Amino acid sequence: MVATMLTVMIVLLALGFPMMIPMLAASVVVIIFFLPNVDPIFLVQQMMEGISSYVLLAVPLFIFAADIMSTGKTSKRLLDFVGSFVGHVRGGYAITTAAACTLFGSISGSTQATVVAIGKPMRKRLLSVGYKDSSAIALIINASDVALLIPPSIGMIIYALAAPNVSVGDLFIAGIGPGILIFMMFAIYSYIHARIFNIPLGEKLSWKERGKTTVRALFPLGFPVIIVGGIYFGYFSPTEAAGISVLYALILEVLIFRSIKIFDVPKIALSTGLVTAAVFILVAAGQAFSWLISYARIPRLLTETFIPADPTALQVLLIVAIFFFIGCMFVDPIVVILILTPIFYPVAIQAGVDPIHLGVVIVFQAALGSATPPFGVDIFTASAVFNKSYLDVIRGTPPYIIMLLIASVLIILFEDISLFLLRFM
Amino acid sequence: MCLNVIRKIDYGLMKLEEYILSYSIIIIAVMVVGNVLSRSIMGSSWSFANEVSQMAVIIATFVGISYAARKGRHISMSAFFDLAPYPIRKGLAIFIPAVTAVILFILAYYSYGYFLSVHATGRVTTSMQMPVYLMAIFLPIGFALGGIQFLRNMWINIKEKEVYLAQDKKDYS
Repeated sequence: MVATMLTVMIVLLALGFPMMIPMLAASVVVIIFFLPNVDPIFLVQQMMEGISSYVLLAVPLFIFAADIMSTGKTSKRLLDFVGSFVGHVRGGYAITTAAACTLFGSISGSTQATVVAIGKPMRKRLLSVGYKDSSAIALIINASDVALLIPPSIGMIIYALAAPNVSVGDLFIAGIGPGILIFMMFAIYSYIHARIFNIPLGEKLSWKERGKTTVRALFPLGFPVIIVGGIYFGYFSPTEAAGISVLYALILEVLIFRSIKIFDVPKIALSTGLVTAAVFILVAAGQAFSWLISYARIPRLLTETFIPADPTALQVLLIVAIFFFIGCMFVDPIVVILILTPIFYPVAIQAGVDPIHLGVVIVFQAALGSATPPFGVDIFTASAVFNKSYLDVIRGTPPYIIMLLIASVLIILFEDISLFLLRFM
Repeated sequence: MCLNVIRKIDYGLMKLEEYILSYSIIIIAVMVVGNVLSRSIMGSSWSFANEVSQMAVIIATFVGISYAARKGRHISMSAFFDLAPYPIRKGLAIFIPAVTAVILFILAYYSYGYFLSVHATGRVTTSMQMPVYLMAIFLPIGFALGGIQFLRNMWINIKEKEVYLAQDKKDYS
């Protein structure tokens, strides 16, 4: 049964079926041929229950807020703000890109929205100062990936859904340290890269001009403060924070910047609705599939095969990292987190892994896997957004993958990178 | 004449799907924000907010199967497809939507069974006392419309020479 299930999944996935189908087809085949006494309506019930979660409502709302901001002027103001401070440094444009992606990640939580909002304008600027297209695109997709880690993080929300008793607020805080670590690595790399390739320096702005760009970016910079502060100090839940960021984005773009008319909002909501539906059908299918494999006791089989008896925390974390990394090279991170977390969570907790740290490692591996050739999903997003062939997109990625691998070893070894901020609070 | 009517129905259906997707998101935002504001200003929460939002999410998700199929926006791992030469890509562009449609029709059948069982129990939601089957009905509808849409994606690839990722989307390579 397990073999049939896996074969169906892998073949359909590899052929390029819509990602819900490998999971649903495998479930249907197993129910028809191997588990005839399971009533298929349970499968359907699991799908409906899978998306009926209060925490999950944060996902469409954060995407909606990001869509409003990338249609409007928020992303440009953030770019100008960062650019005015670091634009004149060696590799300044690349550092600006990395910083702006991190910042935009901290207001949107979505990798795709970040690629569109920051990647599109920054790619033009990077090309104009002499960067090769392949290195510009590689920088953009890898820096945007940090959005998965920086709060508000959709990956963390999904992890909290799959792991019992983990607070989304704590997870958000724990993502900040690793996010900053990766940004620093990218910034240093950009500096060295620009030295080697002799990329010209940008113009240095006066403090007066910097003051101007800062003032213009003040409202957008309020987002992370409201989201993280609001959740952490208990003013509202993550879902409510997502709602508030929609309200804040609307107030900024419609009333203050006047870049969007109120009549445009349903059109923006349609694009959010489309993305939400495409993601949520995966959540629904993932939930049904996950229920079926646990019914068939596959998780125990998996952990007994791959995890040694009485494992240390480090052993478990390494195995978890490998599974999520490989999984996310092929499948959307949301699905992987939803299906694999319940399998490994109990073992990891028993081995003494901190549940928050486990979440950070998992989400980080998910981000890393989805940016890694040959099959990372982000590569296909970028190839669609920039209208570039697959090979053009992956040509520049190796240095970033190496940096991310180093970061991932550091994060696994030193749980303080994720937990130190929580210890202060 | 007959074809014309079908085309009009299809257009109407697409517009309806667009309205449902767009206003589901707006309703969720209004519910969540309204609940926060009402709690902090008036001191009382909206008891219905959560149920209305859940319903909007469920409807958007299952109606969205068909809309995303029209627009070719379902998430997939397309490495092999993108790199394959024309004849294989063309073959896959017919085979994938065909099999997808079959799976979706099976699920439509299963979820119709689910709808009937929910209807039979007469279960209602806790705060609004709304029958749960009103939500459950969107599952068979969504799966069936999705299946039909994938059949059309198959048909356009049989009819036309180019490779179509969906009814409304030509392959960009």
